[in-house]
Amino acid sequence: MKNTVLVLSRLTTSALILLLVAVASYWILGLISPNYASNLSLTQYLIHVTSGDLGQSQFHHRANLQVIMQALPATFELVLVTSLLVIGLVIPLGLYTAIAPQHRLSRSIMAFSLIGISLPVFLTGSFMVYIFAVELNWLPTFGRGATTVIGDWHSGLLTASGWQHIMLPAATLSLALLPMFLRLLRAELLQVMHSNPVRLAQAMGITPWRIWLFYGLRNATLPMITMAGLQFGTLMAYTLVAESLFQWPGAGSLFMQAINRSDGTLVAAYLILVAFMFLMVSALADLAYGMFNPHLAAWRSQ
Amino acid sequence: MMSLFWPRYLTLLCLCILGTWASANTLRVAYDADPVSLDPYEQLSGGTIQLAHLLYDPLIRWTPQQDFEGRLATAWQRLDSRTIRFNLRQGVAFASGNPMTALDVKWSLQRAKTSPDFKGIFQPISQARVINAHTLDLITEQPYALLENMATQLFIMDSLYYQGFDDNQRAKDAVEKHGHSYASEHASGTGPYQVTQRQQGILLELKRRASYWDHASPGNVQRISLTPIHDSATRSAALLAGDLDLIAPVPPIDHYRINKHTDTQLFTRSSARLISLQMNQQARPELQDVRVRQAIVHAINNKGIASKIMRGFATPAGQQSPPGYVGHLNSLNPRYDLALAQKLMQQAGYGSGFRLSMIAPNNRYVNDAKIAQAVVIMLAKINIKVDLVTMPKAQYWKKYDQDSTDLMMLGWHSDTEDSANFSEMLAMCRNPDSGYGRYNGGHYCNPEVDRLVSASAKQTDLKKRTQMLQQVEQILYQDAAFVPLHWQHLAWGAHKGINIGEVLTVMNIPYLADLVVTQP
Repeated sequence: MKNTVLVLSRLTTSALILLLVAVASYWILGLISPNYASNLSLTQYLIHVTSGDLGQSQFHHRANLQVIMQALPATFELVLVTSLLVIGLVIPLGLYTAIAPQHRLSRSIMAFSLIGISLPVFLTGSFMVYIFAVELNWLPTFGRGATTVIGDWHSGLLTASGWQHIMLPAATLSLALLPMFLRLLRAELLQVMHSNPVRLAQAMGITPWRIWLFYGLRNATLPMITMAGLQFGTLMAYTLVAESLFQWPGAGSLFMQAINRSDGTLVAAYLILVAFMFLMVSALADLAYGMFNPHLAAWRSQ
Repeated sequence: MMSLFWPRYLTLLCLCILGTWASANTLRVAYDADPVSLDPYEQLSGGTIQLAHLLYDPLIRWTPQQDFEGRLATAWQRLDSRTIRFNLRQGVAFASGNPMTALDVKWSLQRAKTSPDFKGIFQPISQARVINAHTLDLITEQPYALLENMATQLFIMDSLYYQGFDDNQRAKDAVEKHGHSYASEHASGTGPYQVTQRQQGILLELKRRASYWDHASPGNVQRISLTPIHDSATRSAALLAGDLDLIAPVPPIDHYRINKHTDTQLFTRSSARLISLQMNQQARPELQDVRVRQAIVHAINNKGIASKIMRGFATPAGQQSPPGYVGHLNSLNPRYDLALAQKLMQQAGYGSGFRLSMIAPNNRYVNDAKIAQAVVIMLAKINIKVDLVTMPKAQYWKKYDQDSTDLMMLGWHSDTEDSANFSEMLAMCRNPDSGYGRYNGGHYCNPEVDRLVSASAKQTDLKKRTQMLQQVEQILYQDAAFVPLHWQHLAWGAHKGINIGEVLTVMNIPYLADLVVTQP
C-alpha cells in the first residue's frame, strides 16, 4: 500500500514536470518560430506531445523523434564511454586519496581535480585538442571515425578509429564530471573508515584491502548513485559544448544546428525528450539505490 | 574490482590508438557549413555553387586568372547584340549515362527560371533556341552585355534523369527550397565527381568519375570527403593536427599559426565581397538628410576596422566596386574624418544626436559581430546611440527582409563579377516586379542612378559602359547612399603540397578537379 502511494506520487510529479517542460518548450517554439506557433494553440500542442507526437522538423522534413533518435546513438556512446572513464578513474583515485589523505600525491590529485571543475568545458576541450591532437598528434581532432552499422545503430565502438575519435571528447567530459564524484567518494570513504563497523573489522584483523573494497566502498557508493542521477542533466548540457567542439554528430550538435537554423519544433522536441530522459535516469538511480542500500531492502521485506 | 580491470582496459585502448588511420588518395576538406542541397538551383549561396562545380559543369566558367574558359561549350560567338550561339562539346555523358545535348541546356535553363533564387539572374534571357543536338542560341529580350557572365552560372542537368515522379509522387524536376526534393538528394551531372555517400550536416563523399570528359585536366584528386565544421577553432586545429588537408574559411586569428607551421600553408587573396551598412531612410526621416548620412560615413573609421578587427585581412572600401571592376574609381577613398562628421551633424540640426537600432549577423561574415560593436562605439562619438542586436544568419535574413531596423549590415559579392550587379541589387530603387533593389535596405532611390544602371545593361560599347558605371559610383559616394566598410579577403588553409591558389577563383570557387596534389 505504502509502495503504491509512493509510486503514484512519483508518477504524478514526473508527469507534472514533463507538462511544465512542454509548456516551456511551447514558449520557446513561439520565440524561434512564431509563425509555426501561432497556427497551433498550447492545448493542441500539449495534446500532441502527450500522445507522443513531437511534430515535424522544419528543416529535415521528418518526424522530430526520428531525427533525434538517429543522432542519439552517437551521444549515447559518448555518454557511455565518459561514464566508464569516470567510474574507472574515480574508484582508484578516491580510494587512494582516502587511504593516504596526507600524502603529497593525494594532495596533487585533489588540487588537479579543482582545475577540471573550475574550467569551462570548451576551454579544457580546446586544451586537450591543442596538446593531444595538434602538438603530440596522438589523437584525431574531430568526428566519429569509422562506424559499423548494426540494425539502425551506427556504432563507433567496434573500430579502432572509432575509439581514437571518442577519446578526446570523452576525456573532456570526464574531466568536468570527475572532480565532483572524486570529492564525494573521498569524503564518504573518510567518514566510513571512522565508523564503528569498520573499526570492529580492523580489530578483528580483516585485511585492509578487504575492508576498503567491501566495507568502505560499498557504503560510500550510495550517495554516488544519487549524485549520478542528478549529474545526468549536467552531462547532457556538457555534451552540447563537447559535441560542437569536436564536431561529434550526436543529438547535442543536432540541437545546436537546430538553433542556428531556427528549427523551433526540433528544439522544442529535444528539450522535452531530454527532460523525459532525465526523469527516467533519476527513477533508475532511485531503483539502484534501493538495491544497494541494505536498510531499504530490510524495510521492504517487513 | 574495477581498479584491477582498469589497467588492462587502458592497455587495450593504447593499442587501438597506435593503429594507423589511412586515408590515401582522399582530399579531406572542411568548410564552415554544409552545402544545403545537391541541386545547383535550390539556393543561391557560395557553398551550393562550390559543390555544383564538382557535380555539374557550366557552359563556360571563370578561370582563376579571370578569363572565360569553355566547359560544356567549346566555342561561342555573338550573332547580334541580343544573341549568343554556343557550340556544345560532343561525346559528353551524364553520370546516369545519358548523352548531353542542347535539349539538356534548354531544359536546365527553363528549370533554373522556376527557381526563386536564380530566376533573377536568368531573367534577361527570353529564349533558348536549339539549332541541332550540339548547337544552341541564347537570346535576350533587350541587348545585354553580360550574357557570358550569366552562362557561367548555368549548370547543365540531365533532363532525362529528372523525368517522372519520385516515390512520394512529387515531380523529380521540382525546385523546392529546403524541401528535400528529388534533385536535392539525387545528382546526375556531367561534372568530374559523383556522390558516393551523403549524411547531411555530417559528411559528403565524392569519387572522381572515370568517364569524365576533361582528360586534359591535370587534377589527381580521386576522392573528396567534405565535412562541415562549424567551429572555426576546431577546423584550424584539425588542419594543424593533420586530420584535414584543406579548410576554409580560416579566421584571421589563426593565419599566423597556419602559415608558420611546417606542414601547413595559408593562402589568402583579396576578394570582391563588399561589407556595408544600409541606412534605412524609410524607417528614419533623419537618414533622409544627406548630411546625416555623410556624417555617419565620416564617423566610421573603416581603415581602423580593417587593420585592427580584421587584422589587415580586408581592404577598406570607399565604394561598391573593388579594384579591377569596371566601375571602380581610384578617387573614391575611405573618408574617416571625425571633426567633419561632428560638423555635419551640427549643420543638419542633430548636434545632440539621436538613437538608432541596428542589426548584424554573427556567423555570416568574418568578424561580423565585432565590426558591428566597433560601429556602435564610433557612432557614439557623433552622439548617435545605437541599439545593436546580433543574431545567427538563419534569423538574420528574415529580420533583414522585415525592413524595420535603422542600420543593417550587408555583405555582397557580385553575382556576375561585374559592377552593375551591386547597383542593381543594392542601390536601385526597390521594385518588386523587376527584382531590382531587392537588398536595398537603405531605400535609397535616385532616378539618375536607375537610368544609368539600366542603360549600362544594354550598352555593348564597353568604354561607354565603364563611364556609366563609374558615374554611378560617384553619385552613390556623394549621396552617401550606404556605408562602405571593406572588401573581405579570402583565406584557405592547406597542407603543404596542396596549392589551392592555382585553382581558386576570385568568387571563392575552388576547381578541385584540376587540383594537383604533390606528396611532400
